[in-house]
Amino acid sequence: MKIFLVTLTILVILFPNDDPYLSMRERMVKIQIKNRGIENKATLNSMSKVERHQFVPENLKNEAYDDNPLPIGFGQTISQPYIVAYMIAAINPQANYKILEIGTGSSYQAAVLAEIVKEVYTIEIVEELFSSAKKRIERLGYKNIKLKYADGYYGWKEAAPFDAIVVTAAAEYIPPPLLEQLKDGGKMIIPIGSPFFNQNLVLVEKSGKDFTTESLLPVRFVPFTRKK
Amino acid sequence: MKDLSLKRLQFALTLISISIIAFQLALIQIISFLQWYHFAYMIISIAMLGFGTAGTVLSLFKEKLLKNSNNILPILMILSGLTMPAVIYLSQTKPIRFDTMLFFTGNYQIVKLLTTYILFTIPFFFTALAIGIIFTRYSHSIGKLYFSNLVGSGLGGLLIVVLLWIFFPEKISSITGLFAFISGLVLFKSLGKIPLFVFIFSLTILTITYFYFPDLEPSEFKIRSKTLLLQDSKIIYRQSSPHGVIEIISSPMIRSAEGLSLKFTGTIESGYAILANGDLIGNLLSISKNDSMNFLNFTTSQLPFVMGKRDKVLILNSGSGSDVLRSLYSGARSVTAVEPNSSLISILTNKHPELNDSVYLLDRVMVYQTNARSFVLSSGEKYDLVILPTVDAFGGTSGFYSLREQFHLTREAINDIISHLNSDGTLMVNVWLDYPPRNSLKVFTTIVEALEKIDISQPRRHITAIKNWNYLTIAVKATPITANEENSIKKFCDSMLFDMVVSPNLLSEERDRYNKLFDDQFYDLIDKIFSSKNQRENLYDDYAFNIIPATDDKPFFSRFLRLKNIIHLKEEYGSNKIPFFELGYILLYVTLIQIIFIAVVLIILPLFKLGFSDKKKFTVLLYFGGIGLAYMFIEIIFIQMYTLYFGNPIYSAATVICLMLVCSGIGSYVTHRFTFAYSRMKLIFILIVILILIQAIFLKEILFATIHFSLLAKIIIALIVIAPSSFFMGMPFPIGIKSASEQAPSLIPWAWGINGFASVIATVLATVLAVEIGFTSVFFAAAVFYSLVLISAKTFK
Repeated sequence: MKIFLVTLTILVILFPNDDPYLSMRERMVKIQIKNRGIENKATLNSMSKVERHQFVPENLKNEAYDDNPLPIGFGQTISQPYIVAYMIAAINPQANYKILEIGTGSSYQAAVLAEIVKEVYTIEIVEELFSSAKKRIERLGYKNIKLKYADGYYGWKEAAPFDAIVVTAAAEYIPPPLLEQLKDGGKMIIPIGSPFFNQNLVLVEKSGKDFTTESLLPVRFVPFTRKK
Repeated sequence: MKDLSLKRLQFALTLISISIIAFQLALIQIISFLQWYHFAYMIISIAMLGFGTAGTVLSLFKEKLLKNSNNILPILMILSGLTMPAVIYLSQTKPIRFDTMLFFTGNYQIVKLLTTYILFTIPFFFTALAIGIIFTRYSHSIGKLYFSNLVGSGLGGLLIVVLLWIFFPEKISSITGLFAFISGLVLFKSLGKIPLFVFIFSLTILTITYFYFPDLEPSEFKIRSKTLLLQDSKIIYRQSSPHGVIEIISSPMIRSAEGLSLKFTGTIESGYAILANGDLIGNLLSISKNDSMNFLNFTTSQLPFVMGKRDKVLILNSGSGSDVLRSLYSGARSVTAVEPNSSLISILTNKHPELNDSVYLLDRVMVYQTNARSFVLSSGEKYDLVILPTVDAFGGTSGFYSLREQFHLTREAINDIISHLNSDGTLMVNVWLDYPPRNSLKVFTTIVEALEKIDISQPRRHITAIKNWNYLTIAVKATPITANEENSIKKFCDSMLFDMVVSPNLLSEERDRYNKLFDDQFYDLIDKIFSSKNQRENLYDDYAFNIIPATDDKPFFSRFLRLKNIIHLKEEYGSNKIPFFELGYILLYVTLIQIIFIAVVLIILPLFKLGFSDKKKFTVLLYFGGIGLAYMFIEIIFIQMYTLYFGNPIYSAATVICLMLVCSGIGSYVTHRFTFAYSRMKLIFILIVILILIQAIFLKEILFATIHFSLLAKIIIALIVIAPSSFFMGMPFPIGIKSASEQAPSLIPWAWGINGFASVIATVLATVLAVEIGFTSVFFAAAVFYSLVLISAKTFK
């Protein structure tokens, strides 16, 4: 027994668990995402792999896997995990996709996408967020994410067209250049609402020169409190 | 100990009263700039508990404080002055600074908020303690002293309006501090000497805080903060005003295009963002960039122009002028723009060098500075098109405006507007689509009920609405929509990929062609609104949110949350989302609970020293609590009702506060000359109750009938209405103090504290009553309280 315990202790010292957040991440995927009906395997796998705690401020690491958005500074947030998963599943990303993301923010969503698709192009309008995202992406070794500090209105013409476009912050209108840069048959997903109460998403689909939109509700509202 | 000179006391009291009221109103502006208005409301309400707390402290340490009052009084006044800028500075330091938007995300903001409460309480506490000591020690002259207190408070309300035009709010704290400092000097002088150290130190602090006060940094989640992060953004103009700090920011990345079609392929030019207290008023578009205005044709707001020609247009709450520009671009020959923010009009019409192509400078545009409803009530003109301001804000407002009176969105307002339409005229209102649906539904219920009031039995024939993926535009006509108009709308929608939502002959399958909703719930709810009065009323009862139209008696359009449904919503969304449905409404009740809790504790505390038995204590509680509640009820309701009358909330507040307090001060002064038997007191209270009831019944009619009078005439009318009741309402407090000084002098500080707590509770409670039951109920509540006070006074005579 003693030998066993000593051996175990030596093993733990030599091979510490590199990811103390692993169980939190697994629980997040199971309870917050899978149990809420997200079935897209690529999304689930990616969210299980990407270490969300690496993308939040140091003082919020222990809350990284909670079921809500978190502030990341400069008036921005990292979205609730479920919303990230929902948005990604909605565009049904494929391995050969080229995706444009408007609003890098923490770069978490870009990282989740990068685990699934061929290339992610991401634009951030706030310099400080761009710089920290760039460093983070480089440190974490994501080679298929390209970042740009620019006005997202103009998209990324040089890399267009895109199979899908993900807009991470609520938009008053959809910039015409983004619609132009979306492939025929491509999808764009945009949130509606405040960052702490982002319950709606809108999916835009392009067909030739026409577009349709569809409102998606991760949380469906039951309007009546009394049964008729 | 020698008594201080009464005249110097009165002068000092006037100055310190000016100081604290001006500081209170400046603090509201400061917190509104840093955070949002309703958090300002909550924080100030708590801070004003400093008044009541001072009474508690005075009760507990009365002998010591009175024994040394000559020395203590000037020090308290000076401390009040010094702490005014100091607490603002400290509240913005990193360990203490809190953020409203983070409050419900579990970021330990509560400790920061509690610290902020305590900080802001300090100047109020020092002032109230000084006033309480004066009232207690010199109760034989309470009539004259209370007169000084009230007059000073009234002047403080006027002074802040002037100061806000000249100075930025953070500087004002040093100025109000100076008033308090001088009040202390006046009393030191009364003692024969001013301590040199105190004089130099205090003046140095106030000077440093005035000249070197750091810039205020609003919440990172405010539009201002986010806009300034954009590349090449800069503030090109900044002005303080009673409407808030107005700023114009330029950046090549600022663009706006609400309701834009996905078919638009052109360019949206960048412009300027105009903000008030860090919140967006609108984007300023340049009239010289005519070519780039083409995107306006691709928005849902083109709806009325698609329906027909609009030569004469009225735009209510025109803001930055984007609807003015749209109207001109669409061929309007004359545009009347009504905007209540005088500061904004001044900026946009005074040829600011970078804004020399403001749309307000054009000959075809007439600009009126008043609020929307006041203009409509005063105007005899008719228009081809009336445009209301957009309902809700992009991204939602998280319910910050749930307590804001919106007299232009009441059922009566819609009727008034429709009566100003030409035969083919149209009213247009835009609404940001929200989920769960609230704003859009309430606009529909308001319009439908307004049309039914003018005997239009089939409202659906008079309304059309179209939407894109996040924006809804509604057009209403007094006459039925014609087949030609409907066809034009259909063609427009098809070309723009908009959906028709409401139209006389719309089929259900035509509704969701380009912008599909998740399900038909939204349309089902709209259909219920249009179906019949019974169905609509059932919907009002059953729907999880309040979509009953706002009325002039309850003009709180953005009030959707129902307390009884909070549990249901909590189950749907989780408790941390509930505040963001309607933060203002939640904060109102949170504030009320906090205030009542603290007040009860601090009212009870002195009883451990004074004793719990003795009927007189109950009488004191009822008397001073009752008059504190009743007086503030009337003041709050007057401010809200006169906002519509004067067309401006700031001028309304300043006028009401000044008139009420000065007239009450005169009433207080008169009490100095008389002794009051119960019979005389009875007469005064009966007069007060009668005058309040008269106002409850007739005030609204008087104001509406004279709303088109000139400003001077309106002020005179306000004086005639406010003066009689306010004069008599100024009497109960000094009468009560005088009686207490004869029968139970040890209770005077406690009475002062109770009155302070009651006033603060009333401020919040009046809003609760107005929101839940209506303005008239607040008048009746005040009448009831004065009646109860009269009954209680019988045992105290």
